[in-house]
This record gives sequence, structure tokens and C-alpha cells, in this order.
Amino acid sequence: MRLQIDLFEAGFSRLIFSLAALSALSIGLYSVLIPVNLVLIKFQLGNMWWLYEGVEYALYIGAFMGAPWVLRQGAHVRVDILQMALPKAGAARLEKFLNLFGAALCLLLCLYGVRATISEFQDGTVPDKVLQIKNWYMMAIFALSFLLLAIEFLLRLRRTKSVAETGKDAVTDTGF
Amino acid sequence: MEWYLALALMLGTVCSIMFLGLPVALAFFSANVLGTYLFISGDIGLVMMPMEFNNAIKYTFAPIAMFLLMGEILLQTGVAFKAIGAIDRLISRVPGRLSVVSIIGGTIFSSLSGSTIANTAILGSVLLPEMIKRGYKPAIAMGPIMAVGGIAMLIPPSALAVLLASLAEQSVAQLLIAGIVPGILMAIGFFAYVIVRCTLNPSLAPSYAPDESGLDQPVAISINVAGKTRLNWSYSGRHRKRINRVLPFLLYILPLFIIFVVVVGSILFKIASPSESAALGVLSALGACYFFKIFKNIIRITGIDGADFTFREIRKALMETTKINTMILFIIAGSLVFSQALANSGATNGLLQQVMAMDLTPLMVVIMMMLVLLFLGAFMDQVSMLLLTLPFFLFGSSSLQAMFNIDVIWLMVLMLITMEISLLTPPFGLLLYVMKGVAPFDVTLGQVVASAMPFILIELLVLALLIAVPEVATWLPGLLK
Repeated sequence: MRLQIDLFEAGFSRLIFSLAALSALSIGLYSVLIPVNLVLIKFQLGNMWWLYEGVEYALYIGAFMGAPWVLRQGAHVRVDILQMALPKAGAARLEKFLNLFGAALCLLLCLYGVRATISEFQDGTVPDKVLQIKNWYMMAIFALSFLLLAIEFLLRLRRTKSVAETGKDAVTDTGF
Repeated sequence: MEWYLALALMLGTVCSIMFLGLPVALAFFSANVLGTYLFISGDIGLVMMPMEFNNAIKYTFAPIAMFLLMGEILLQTGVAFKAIGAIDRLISRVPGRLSVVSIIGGTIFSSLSGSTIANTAILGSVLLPEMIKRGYKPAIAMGPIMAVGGIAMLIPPSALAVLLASLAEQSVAQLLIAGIVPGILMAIGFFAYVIVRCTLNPSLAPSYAPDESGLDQPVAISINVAGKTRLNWSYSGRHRKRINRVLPFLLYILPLFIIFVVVVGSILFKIASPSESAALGVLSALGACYFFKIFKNIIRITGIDGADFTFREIRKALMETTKINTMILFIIAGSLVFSQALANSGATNGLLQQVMAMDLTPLMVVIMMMLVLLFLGAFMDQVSMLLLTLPFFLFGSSSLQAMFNIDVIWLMVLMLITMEISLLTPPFGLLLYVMKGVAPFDVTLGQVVASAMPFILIELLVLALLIAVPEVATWLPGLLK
């Protein structure tokens, strides 16, 4: 069982890294396309009419798809005054609670994301934009992001446990 | 529900979950679930909530990622560190020399990294040991490193200024330009303090002869093409010392200055929008790194290392940018929906009506806002405190700014300075603890606070000057109109 979870975690790590890499790629892409568009406009050679809204989609998709990897990296900013003040055992218990709470919250948001996806799919709604991507795609990304975040929180819970068993510092090894 | 109960419930949920240690973004999401359920049509509201997150992310946030990328490219290629080295070589006979170097280098580094906390951690561990080794007292060694973030937050490219203006739906260009004069005043204040204090009390920063043995070497230039040396030239005349001192500064600082000119100039002369100027900044950074690469492989000059600039550095810069940008956008998405829930609950309006009923002057309201930010800075980073307070301070026609008719650009500059001061304010200012953590010697929190105090006072003086003479901030952006 332990081996299977380890294998799952390895695959999951690759998945969230790939999603973050796609987000990184999109930042690189629009950093190049925006000046190209500027040159096209300045020299009256036309314009990429879809660019600004495309960047807006990229920002949204990038933020939600990159979030699980950012959680894995411990880069979501957090206030750790209480955790620092607690003794090691207390900090580890608090960490466990936070991971459980985080997983539950993300599952709840995933659930509402799925319901929003179904609702938008049934209505077939599109945004009030020139570059139209059906709303349900965006909602599906929201739901997927929170599903991945919930899984990451549960994996963190497992890591916190194994860290506690080996007697290492829970906060520094598995902190956000 | 009464407005004050709704306010207590919403702010209480965010703050308590935040202080337990859950990521700030998720603390906002928790409050959103509660607020949407209670104040926006219950279960139906929660089904509609994900769409609000989609609507919250706007094109105006794009410059944040690009300014971060610009800085990351220069950090990952090591150019930022080399720039500090070049400044170190150039400045030789100034009282408190290393403190002056840390102010200039720290400003560059902090502007590029976009994080004053990271800046304090890195420069604290890189520059501080050298200062202590040279006999600098902690009182003059630590303060400048912690304080330079204030300058970086004001002088473009400041990702936080872009974030603030974008969120407040105000002109990013005007805010970026508005920060320049106060930033320069702050820098002058820091320099003056270090030089005057070290002149009056030389034991704080004992003067020493910097290692200038390398400066006596002949200036040798060789050009290598396809593994063969095509040109070899050497100069060992009487100006070699001066050339060896100035050349690294020209080669490392000038390209960085060009990036600054591209970013600020394109906005100031209305050639580009903030997003376009940020993208031009990224291209300029890539160009600068390519320029430095030439000095690694093709043109060899004594004392100039050039820089590694391969796909590896670009990939690393992109991933680091993604990390910070995602973190910021995730908090933004959470907090914008939070501000809607606050507005729908009647909490925002109730609190603002209460403030209006107190019959305060606009100046008193501004000072009150600054005090709230100073308090929050004791516990949280700038992005979090910004997003927690914006619904009351700056969002829309029912905010304190709109109701008291306060100049929005001026207010945002004041907020930027106050947020930086708050990170240095005892007893909990985050930068104080970061510095205590990275200091290479046993230092008490009292010593850290004492070293920061003069710089806090200088920042407060600049703040007071801006309050007394708003034109210091509004004059330059006025030219843009």
C-alpha cells in the first residue's frame, strides 16, 4: 500500500510540476508577444486582436493550475507566528490540523466548482469578450485546481506523519 | 445581521485562519465560502462563486508577472550580484563605505527581486559578514540592509506599486512615476545619515583600505571567435587603475540603467502601457544578459566575468516567476471575492458610515489608514495587508478615499511607504526577525531594532513631508496627464 501511494505521489508531483511549467511557458510567451503586438500597432501592420484577452485567460489558468505546485514548494505566503511559538509536538499537531482543514476546504471548493461547471455547461454560457472560450472550461479548471490542492494537502498530511515518526522538525520539513 | 457583526465574522474568519497558519489565500477562500453562503444567496451563491474568481483576474495584473520575470532573469544569471560587486569597486573613500554599498546594491537587488523580505535575507547573509569582519558595528551594518526595501518599493519597476494601482483600478503608470521623487529623497536621507553618522563616530565603521590589488593589473582585452583569439590588447599605462575601477561599473550597471530607462521612459513618454513597458523590460533584461554573455565567451576583459546565460537560467527564472505570480494572483482572487462578500454583508458600508459620522478631516482619515497598515505589518506581508484593507481604503465610490475625496495617487504612495515602515516596526516587524535569523553573530532583537530605528525615522520624515507637501508625489505624474 505504502509503495502504491509513493508511486501515486511521484506521478502526482510530475503532474503538478508539468501544469506549473505550462503556466511558466505562458508567462514567457506573452512577455514576447506583447512587445511584438506593440511593434505591429506602432508600425500600423495590424494587431493581435486576441492578445489581451488571451493573456487574461492565461493569467487565470496559470494561477489556478500553478497553485498545487506552489503549495508543494511551500511558496504560498502564510503567517507562521503561532507555529513558531508552539513546541515541536504542538506545531506538528497544528500542522496536521491545517492540512486536514485545507483538504476539506479545497474539496468543498472543488465540489462547488464541479456544480458550476455542470451549470455553465448546461446553459452553454460564454463570456462577454471578443475571444470567447465557454465558461464551463474555466469552471472545470477551477474544480480541477482545488481537487489537486486537496490531494496535495492530504499528501502533506502523510508527509507530516512520516516526518514526526523520524523525529525531524515538522514545520521546516513540511511547512508551506 | 448588523454590519459590525458581519464585519467581525468576516475579518475574524480571515484573521483567525491566517494566524493558525493556513496560506493567506486559503484564509480568504474560507471567509468567501462563509460570506457567500451567509450574505449572497446561500447555496446558489456558492455555485456562482467560482465564476467570480474567473472575473477577478484581469489583464491589468499582467505587468506583475513580467516585472517579476525581468528581475528573476537578472538574479538567476548572477548579474544582480555582479552589479553589487561593481558598485563595491567604484566606491572607495566614503565614510561607512560598505553601508553605502549596501544601500545602492540593496536598492538594485530589492527592485529586481521584488521582495524586501528576500532582499534582507540574501543581503543579510552576503554583505553583513563582510561588514562585521571589517569591524562595522551592528548599529550601522544591519539598518541599511533592512531599510532599502523602502526605496525599491517606490522606484520603478515596483511590482507592488503595479499590484496596488491595478487593484485600485487606477493608473499604474502614474503610480510608478509618482514613486520616483519620494524614492530618491529616501535614498538621499539614507546616504546622508550613514555618511554623517560614520564621520561623527568613525568607530562605527572603521575605514580600511579595500583590496585593490586587482586594480593594478594591466587592462587586458581579448576577442575570441570559434575558439581562436582574434585580438589581444593590453594597457598598462598610468590610468589602468581608474579604468579597472570604472569599467565593471559601466559594463554591469549601465545595461541595468538602460532597463530602467526603457521601463520608465516608455511609460513617461506614453510609448507603451504598463503591460507593454513591463514586457519591454523583460526583453531589455534578456538583451542585457546576452550582452553579459558576450563578456563571458567572446570578449574577455580582466576583472569582468560576464554572466551565464543559457536556456537553463531562463527556465529557472520562469519557474521562480510562476511561483511568486501564482501566489499573488491566488491571494488576489481570494481577496477580491472577499471584498464583494464584505460589501454585500453591509460591513463595508456600515464601517465607512461610522467613520463619516465621526466628523474626521481627510488628513485624520489618512493618518488612521496609515496606523492600520503599521499595525498589520507587524503580522503579515505587504500583499496580504494590502488586500485586507483595500475594500475599505480604495475600492470604488464608497471607499474612504472616495468619500473623503483624497488624491488617489498621493494616497497610494503613502500606503507603499507605510507598508514598508510597518515591516520594520517593533515589536513584530517581519524584517527585524528575518535579519535576526540571518545575522552571522549573536544579535539581540533590541540591537536589530536599534539599527533599524534611524532608518524608520528617515522613512517617517519622508512620509511626513509627503503628507505636508503632496506635490512631492503628485508633481511628476501630473506631467503625464
